[in-house]
Amino acid sequence: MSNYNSLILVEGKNDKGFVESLINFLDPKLNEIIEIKYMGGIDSFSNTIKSNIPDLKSKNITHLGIIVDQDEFSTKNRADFIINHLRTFIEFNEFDYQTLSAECNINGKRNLKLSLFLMSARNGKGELIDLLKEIKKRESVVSDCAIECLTKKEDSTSKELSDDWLHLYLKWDCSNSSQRKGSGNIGLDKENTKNRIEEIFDFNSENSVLNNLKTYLQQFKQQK
Amino acid sequence: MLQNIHIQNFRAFEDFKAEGFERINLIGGKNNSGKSCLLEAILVTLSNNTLSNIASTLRNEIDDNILFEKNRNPLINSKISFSGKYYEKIFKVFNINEPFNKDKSGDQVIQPELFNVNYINQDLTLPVINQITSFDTIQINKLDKNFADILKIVDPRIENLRSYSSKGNKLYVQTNHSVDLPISSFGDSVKNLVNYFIPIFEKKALGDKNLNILLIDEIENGLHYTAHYDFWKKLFQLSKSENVQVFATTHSLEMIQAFNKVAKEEGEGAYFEMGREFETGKIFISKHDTELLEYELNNEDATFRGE
Repeated sequence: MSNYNSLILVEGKNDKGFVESLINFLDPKLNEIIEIKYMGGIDSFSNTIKSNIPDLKSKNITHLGIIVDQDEFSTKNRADFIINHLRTFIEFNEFDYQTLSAECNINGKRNLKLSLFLMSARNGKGELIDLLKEIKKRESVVSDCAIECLTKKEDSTSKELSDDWLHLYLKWDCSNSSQRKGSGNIGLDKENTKNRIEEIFDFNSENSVLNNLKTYLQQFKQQK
Repeated sequence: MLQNIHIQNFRAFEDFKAEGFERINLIGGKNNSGKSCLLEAILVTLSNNTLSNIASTLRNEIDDNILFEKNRNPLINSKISFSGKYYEKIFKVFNINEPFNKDKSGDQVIQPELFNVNYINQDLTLPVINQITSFDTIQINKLDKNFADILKIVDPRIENLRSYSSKGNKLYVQTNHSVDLPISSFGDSVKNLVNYFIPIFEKKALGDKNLNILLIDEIENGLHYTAHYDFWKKLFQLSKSENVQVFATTHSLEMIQAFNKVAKEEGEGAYFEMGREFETGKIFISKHDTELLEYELNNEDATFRGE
């Protein structure tokens, strides 16, 4: 049986790979007690919670973490979106907007901590990719150039462009021809990338969002 | 149809509630999470079987084991609807040798003749069905070819079924083979399909419009995954046209995937997952409508893994 006592929900597979790698960097033992699952986008948040209720009941989970992109919303707006969906399935009293956390109760017996972390590397807005751009270790020559070109395409969306930037950066700026081989092996959730993640991103960077994320993840250590 | 059930002190259930049943209900969950117990609770509540009969027939057990706690009476409260009317019933039992509905309280009385219950698992069917008599009814109403179509899902060579008066209590399968072979010479898939669909076809042949509740334990038994989609398609369509409500348990992810595909197309289906609370071991159930199930089947990180 698993020894997980914490569950962290993230938006996508890249978020999952990144958070797993960062946890591994902080303390590999943390990976044994934290399970990370991706939702498949914030639009699936409600389904994700519904789907995880049985796990919250039947496993000894004491901390539910949620890491999502801030995007263009205010912290209050983003938090309210999360809270409103959570309240449909989990009862909790007050949500503390300072610490972005709340306490609730599962099976009438177990205390469950709820906590939220917003990815906001672009002046209080933004998403994972903005943070990654801040802590990249390699020159993003090819990816930046390609994105500049793709931006000219009128119907391209900023979401598409950031996803593409990461893919292009990993594939063309950070990989040699043998590392590029094989379809579908480029991505932060892929072993091929995870094994050399510290060559690609600087986990020792003093970037404030990275430091906040580290502090956020460290609190899962204090759980029993 | 059965809508809700609240079970106390029966089998693995200390106090258990399930709500929102649809026409076709597929129930999953790990071993010993109470799936079969739920089917038995429905069987004992809605059929004339006694608790003691259920205990001895289904599990070859002594009576005592059918209660969660020996010194307390079981209590099953179910909400069931017929032709737009809802009946909420409390079934109590003081003597485990009495049928559940012998001793009841509440305002409405459910007429047992308004519905039938069939229970089917790998080893037995309850009530025991005389397949020859049932098939005769099907054949005389010219539904035998339609019935054989069901069996073609697993073996396209099958042309029809028939019985022979001198050959005993056995159905024979007609193929392009030179002799007809007894059904027992075919595999579990054919045997199980006959068990599942004979009550439905007999009902159809008799023009019986009352509700029939079909309880099937481990419904995937013997069925190759390539047959799953067609199987569900037939079961959904016939259940809707013949007023049958199905409760089936499964351990097969492929069966759940095919179920979801058909439920999206046909409607009136839901998947239920059973589990146990970490602290107490108490059994709970969660309903996964087709939208949620679709999401879970497409996300490898979703809690849902089948079993």
